[in-house]
Amino acid sequence: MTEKKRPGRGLADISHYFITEKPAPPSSPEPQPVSFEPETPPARPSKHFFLIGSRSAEARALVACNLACEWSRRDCRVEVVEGESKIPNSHFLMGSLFPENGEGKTNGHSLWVRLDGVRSIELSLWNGGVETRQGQGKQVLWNGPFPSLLKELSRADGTPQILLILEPDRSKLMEAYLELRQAASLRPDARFVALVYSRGSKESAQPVYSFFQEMALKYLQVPVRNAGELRWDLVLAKSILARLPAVLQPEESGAKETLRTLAITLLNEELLV
Amino acid sequence: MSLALKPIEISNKNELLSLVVGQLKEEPHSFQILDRQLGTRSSGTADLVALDAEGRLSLLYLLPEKEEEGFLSALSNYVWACENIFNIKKIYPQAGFSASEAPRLVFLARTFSSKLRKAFDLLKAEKLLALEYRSFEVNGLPCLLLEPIKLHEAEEALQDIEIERLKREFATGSRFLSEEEILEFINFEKSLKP
Repeated sequence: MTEKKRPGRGLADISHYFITEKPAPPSSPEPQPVSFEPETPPARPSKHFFLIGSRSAEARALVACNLACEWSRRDCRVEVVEGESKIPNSHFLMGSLFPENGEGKTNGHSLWVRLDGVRSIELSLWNGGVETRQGQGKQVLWNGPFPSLLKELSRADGTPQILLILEPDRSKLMEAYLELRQAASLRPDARFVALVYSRGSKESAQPVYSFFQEMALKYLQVPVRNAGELRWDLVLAKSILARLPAVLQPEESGAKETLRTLAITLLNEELLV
Repeated sequence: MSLALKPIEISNKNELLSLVVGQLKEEPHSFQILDRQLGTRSSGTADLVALDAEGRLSLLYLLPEKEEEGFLSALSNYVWACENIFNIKKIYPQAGFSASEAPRLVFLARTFSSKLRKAFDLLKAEKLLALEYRSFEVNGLPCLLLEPIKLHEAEEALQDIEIERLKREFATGSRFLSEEEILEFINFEKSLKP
């Protein structure tokens, strides 16, 4: 029991016989989605991050959710806007199943997710082409099919940050290159960052990044900065199965470190070359 | 002094091999000939046993006019040699070649058909050498000119097909890629492969 003094006539110093401090509940291993009202935003503009490249939805959603968690732990308001209306991976990875009526019909429909260790994250489902909320003072991560992303990119405020996810595969690199070209053409003011995602490949990511950067500079005159290498490992596998982002997993791993570093550098707008 | 040069046919295999030996010793081939005929009745026979400029065991096969028969026989002997390289090393203890690497394949013929050239590409044998010979008589003396053929032309042909396919795929509109860009991606992919 802990003493807790309460003012009161004739009851001074005996309150501890009646009031006990409850022990802290054990931290739940399962994510607990909770709906509640958002806080009043601070007066600053939103910052938009667009995740493009990589045909697999899993890589973008994986990175988006981990960035969101890491930023939220640093007292940022975060919104992950998921464009894959049929299979919203971001929601899945954050431990939520999207409501059935969300598929392709609602726009701007949101869930609030609160996980242990983070404040809160807003997960939005959007079908593209429809006006979405432009909240104040949030880090907004756009994750979805490229044509829809282009539409949102065209009306994003400020300097959009575009995070390219590259894989050591020719066809995926070509797709990412085409997307870079279109995005750069649409928003010459955008800043591009490349993260190389190696699915179990033993090769270094440096050749992939170097080649892509060379192509971007030579043919598109667009600089692409190096955001590091994300290697597939057990922590990433667990994060998908457990639906708990890797940055919140107890194990330390290279992937977790990469995601955390990426979150910090994007937040600080200081990109490692 | 005038030079009388005329093409000739050398039908005698031993004479031909003698001329080949003389040419192989010279630059740029710089082979050191160890022996003639290595093999068994069942495995076929290599016509020449040599060390190349890097000291690697090399087996030379002179392909006859009916090159396909000779090619299969040569391959049979080559496989035997690969399996028995430690024993071959005992036969030539002074040669000093490594038994841990496969012998080098050297083919010699008047001309190589396109079919055989494709077969060479498919073999993917490390440092395979295919030499076409031209026999001349210079001032009454028989001479031989050895010319290596260019391999991997089939691979280049395949790359051309791949480029054409990619050009069709990335032919229009926002997905257009130049041939130069496509080639860069193809070459990068090759560089990633072991």
